[in-house]
Amino acid sequence: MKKSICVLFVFWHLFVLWSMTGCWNFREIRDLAIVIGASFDKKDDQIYLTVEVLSPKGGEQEQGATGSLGITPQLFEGSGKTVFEAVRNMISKAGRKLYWSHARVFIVSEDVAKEGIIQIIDWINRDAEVRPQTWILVSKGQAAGDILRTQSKLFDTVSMQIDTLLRNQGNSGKLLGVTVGDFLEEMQKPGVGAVAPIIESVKDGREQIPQVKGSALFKGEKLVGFLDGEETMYLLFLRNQMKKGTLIAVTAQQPKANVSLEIFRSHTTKTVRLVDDRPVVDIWVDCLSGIAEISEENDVISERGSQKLTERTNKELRNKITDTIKKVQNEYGTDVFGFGNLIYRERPDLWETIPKGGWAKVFPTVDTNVNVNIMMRGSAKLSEPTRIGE
Amino acid sequence: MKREPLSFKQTVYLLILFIIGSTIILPVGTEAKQDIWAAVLLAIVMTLPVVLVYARILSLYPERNLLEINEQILGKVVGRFINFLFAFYAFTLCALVLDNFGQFINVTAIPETPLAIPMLILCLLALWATKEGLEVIARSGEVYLPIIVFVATFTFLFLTPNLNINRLQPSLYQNSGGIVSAALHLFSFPFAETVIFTIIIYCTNKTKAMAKVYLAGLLIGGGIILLSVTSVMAVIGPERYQASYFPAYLAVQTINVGDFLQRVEVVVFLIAIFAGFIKISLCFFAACKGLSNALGCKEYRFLTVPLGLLEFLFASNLFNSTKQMAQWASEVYLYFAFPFQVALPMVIWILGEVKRRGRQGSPEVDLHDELR
Repeated sequence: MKKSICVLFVFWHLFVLWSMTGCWNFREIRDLAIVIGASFDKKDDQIYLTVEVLSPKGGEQEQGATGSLGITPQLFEGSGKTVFEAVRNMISKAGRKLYWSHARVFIVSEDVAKEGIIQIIDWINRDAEVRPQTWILVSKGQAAGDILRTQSKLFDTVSMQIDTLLRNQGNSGKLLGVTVGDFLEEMQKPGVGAVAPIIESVKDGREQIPQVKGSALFKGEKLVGFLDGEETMYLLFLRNQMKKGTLIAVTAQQPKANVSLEIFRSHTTKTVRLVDDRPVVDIWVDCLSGIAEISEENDVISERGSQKLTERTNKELRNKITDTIKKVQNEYGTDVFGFGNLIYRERPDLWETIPKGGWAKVFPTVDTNVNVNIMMRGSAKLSEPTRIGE
Repeated sequence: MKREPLSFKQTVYLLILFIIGSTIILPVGTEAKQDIWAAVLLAIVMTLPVVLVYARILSLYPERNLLEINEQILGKVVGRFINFLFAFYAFTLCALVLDNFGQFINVTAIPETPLAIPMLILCLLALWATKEGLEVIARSGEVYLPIIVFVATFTFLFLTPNLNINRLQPSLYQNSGGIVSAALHLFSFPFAETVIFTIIIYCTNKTKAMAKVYLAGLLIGGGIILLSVTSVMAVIGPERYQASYFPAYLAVQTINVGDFLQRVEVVVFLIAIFAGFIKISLCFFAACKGLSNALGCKEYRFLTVPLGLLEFLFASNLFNSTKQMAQWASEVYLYFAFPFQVALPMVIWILGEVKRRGRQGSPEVDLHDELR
């Protein structure tokens, strides 16, 4: 009797083990349509969603470009009154339920961004499957769906290319990659405007390829303007997000001859003080750099030359940064540098004197005082400019 | 009645796990915004005298838990009625924690699974553990805590690159109202919930200094809470902390070590479920003990199954939505818990001290026999 119960028990356990694997909404990987990137457009109050879905093909597929996994992306389009409706309507086209956890980029068209990005950001942050660590980009002048229709040369899909590119942004110094989570935080924080990188499709040879360049500036949830690649670099300096990048300096002796400096390390400190009851923001940029390229025979390496170069570069960088601040203050009026947040953090008493919602009015009048201090470290492998024989 | 003595270490471990419990996943102390660390510190300071009272009550009557002490001090009828109330509190608290976990798992991981399933599994587990006795719960606590500490330490280390001190500024600026209100909430959840422990443990030779047990548990548990909520705040900022139901989950999502170690949210589940299991089991254990005492039974084990199923039904019908759960926790719970956490223990303590003065001369042994 006892033995039979034991055997029954073992069988029961085996049965449970085999039958109760996985969870309620258990899905095989072949049942999923894995979304790797998505774009949002708007026309006549309808949200047009384009998603890039991975469709893995086995070994039969011919090998693509180097390093390719042989994955071909499939594009699906869907529309709906809301983002969620558009996502759900997609099932009727894709045939499978979209799986969002592996999405890497979201591209929002300029039109949607101008009207307000909140419905998209909200859905991304609310949905359990979508991760807030996804990149967000704004397509300038084009439909966001067209970006996903471009060709990627080295990567399997456009979204993968954008993802890798944004993760390697440090080396370019002109890109400011922003995740949806960071974007949301900046949108909500007092005294700071959110920023997202711009993406465009450009012609390269015969193909249209995606290019990320510059940044889009938001005031609240609405897009208000763009900065180009170079201005984005100064924006990076101001936000203390510059890590490594290239900086072009012009020497003092011959204005036409260029010297390229490579930035190794950069740190920006901002403080706020009051002058005649008005806030003045002091900005110190400390930058460690070295000479990467000298385009003409030019003495910039000797102590005297180096000093002149440094001074000249300091001044130039200072002017460029100030210009960028002025441009943003006068043309867009959104505090993407976080001056307001600086005041909020360091001088909360001062922040309270500004009426609620009044920072947008105060921001354009904030005086700034930019100091740049470049430290030269070496000149790479060569100790002299490349000399030309007589 | 069979006694189940716990060692000093086991009791402290249980206290720590109990305090970590569901606190680690929920948005506690949102009113304090970026000054949450100050609120946690204040809450710990506020809890200190209260836990000393709990400890004192237990040390007044060695070898007795709160239920027996109540009977002794307040008499059979009143004492049992108070014990019934405590059992009700423990029962409700257990349902709340169960509901928190159900919602957490349901919202973040398996939205299509009915809420009842994870809750039922956790509830059955707690039921089983209670049936096996306190020893079993204590020993599982001994296994879980080192795992939790190990995992949490690594999670914290991986999280450090994402910490930004700017998110904690401006610190302590005209926010005293928020800090005090947050500290009050933190006091009632989770710190003063340790009143449940007075039902579970009792003063023995092994755990001589009750005050020591309570202080160690409170300070270590409180320290872990302080570290965790402050780092979560420094990772996601006050705005997102306030807006999300499960901020720790959001913070851990940001971990990305060299594009290699990422998507480690599951560790939050690990910590939460281990600690939560202990909290649920202990509350349930206290509820069973309290009810059996109120009914005048010597044995509590026969109550585990009916009470456990009732618990499951209660927990699954408690709230209609996650929002309701969060709202109840932030608006009502403080007042609901106050009598059990502060008022009743104070009364019992004062009466206990008075009675003790009165019986100074009489020998201890009489008291023991009186109950049996």
